[in-house]
Amino acid sequence: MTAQNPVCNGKECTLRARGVTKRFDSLVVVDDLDLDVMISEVVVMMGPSGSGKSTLLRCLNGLEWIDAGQIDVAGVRVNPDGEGIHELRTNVGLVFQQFNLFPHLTAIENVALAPRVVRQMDQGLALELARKHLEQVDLGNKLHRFPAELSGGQQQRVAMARALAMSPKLLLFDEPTSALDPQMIGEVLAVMKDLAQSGMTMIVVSHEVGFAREVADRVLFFDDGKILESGKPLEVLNNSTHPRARTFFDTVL
Amino acid sequence: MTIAITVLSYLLALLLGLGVGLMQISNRRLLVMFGKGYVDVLRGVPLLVQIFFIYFGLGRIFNLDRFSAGVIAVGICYSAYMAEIIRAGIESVAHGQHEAAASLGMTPAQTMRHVILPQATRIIVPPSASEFIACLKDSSLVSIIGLRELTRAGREYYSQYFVDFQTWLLVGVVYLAMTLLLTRFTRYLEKRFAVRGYGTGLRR
Repeated sequence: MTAQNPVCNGKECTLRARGVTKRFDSLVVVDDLDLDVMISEVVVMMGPSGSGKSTLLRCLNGLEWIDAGQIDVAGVRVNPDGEGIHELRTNVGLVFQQFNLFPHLTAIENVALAPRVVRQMDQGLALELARKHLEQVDLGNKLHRFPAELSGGQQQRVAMARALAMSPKLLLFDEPTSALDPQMIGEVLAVMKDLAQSGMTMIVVSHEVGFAREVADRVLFFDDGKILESGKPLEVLNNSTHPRARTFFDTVL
Repeated sequence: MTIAITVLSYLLALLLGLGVGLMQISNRRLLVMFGKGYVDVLRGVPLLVQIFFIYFGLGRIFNLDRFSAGVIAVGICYSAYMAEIIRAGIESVAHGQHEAAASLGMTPAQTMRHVILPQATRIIVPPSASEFIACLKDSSLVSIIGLRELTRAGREYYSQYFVDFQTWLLVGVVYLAMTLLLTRFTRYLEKRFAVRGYGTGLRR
């Protein structure tokens, strides 16, 4: 099966979301949202807590069913009827704030599990793939450690390797450094930067301004279920015109 | 005989308990209601009454012998307790585990098998083992329908030789020997299932 990428503004792209809406009862959390992400683009999304950023990521990964709109990634289209949601999950990776590693499995088993079970890869090949990805996140010497024996930063890097092992077309990060001690944030951001430079398409929800300035192709300001600002990092961070974005960036910068 | 009844009824309890435990956490309302009703009814009626009901009631209809009736009665009764233990074990696994597995494209069945049950097992093993011990002791109740297990054998011996104290002392000691052995085995299992740095594994 050749995965047909969606087309955004006449160009082939990774993600094309149109009219995406998510409600929890009467509360609209994602409001008629359009979002295009180009191939190898790195998008950093910022916004107040409770603004729906996490929910949007969960919709783009297929963890939440959408109430309206459509999401296209690599030949998979998801509608509110939930069809294709499973294929969406296998094509879009998600790195959680709390890592959510499988505590009963070692690092290498954590990474090899989904390739083995979902892609039905042979055990030996899956372990080889897992080793490769753990080396990529600089954990080649911790293959057989259990999650509880690793630091927060190491656990988050295992979580990245686990997502990468499914060769996602798009990798989502939900505040990947918010649960980490300051000295571990750097090692996680460094791996994310390497990934970005290797051409991975990424949407990162994070308030790491330095990372946004240095690595992002585009910064979004998200509030009340809508994208209120979108542009080059410096433009959005320093010269937002939207009053709510202005107040927000004045406090985080 | 006591051992055969215990092992067979416990296996039945484990199988039924897993089924009913999974029913209670499914997202079909009817299954959940059935599971909860099953547990409530069976836990609410004394085992002795259940043994009478199955042997004299269902036994007549299905023509069950004493042995099968005894095993089925004890097995069904304990399946309700096992269902609760299994349900609690599965529910104790963090919600993030389901999400992490789903985000990797695993189906609910794959998630249950590879992620949730292996973790739940570690929580389920210790209380299940103590249920096994309780099951062994409660198997004495089937002597009431004439099954010749340990307690019944004791009664027969007593009625033949009229030595009450010695007989029941001996019966008690035999039960105690079996349960003590099982308690040792339980501790071994707990250690065996512990994972380095996870849950009880930390204390090793």
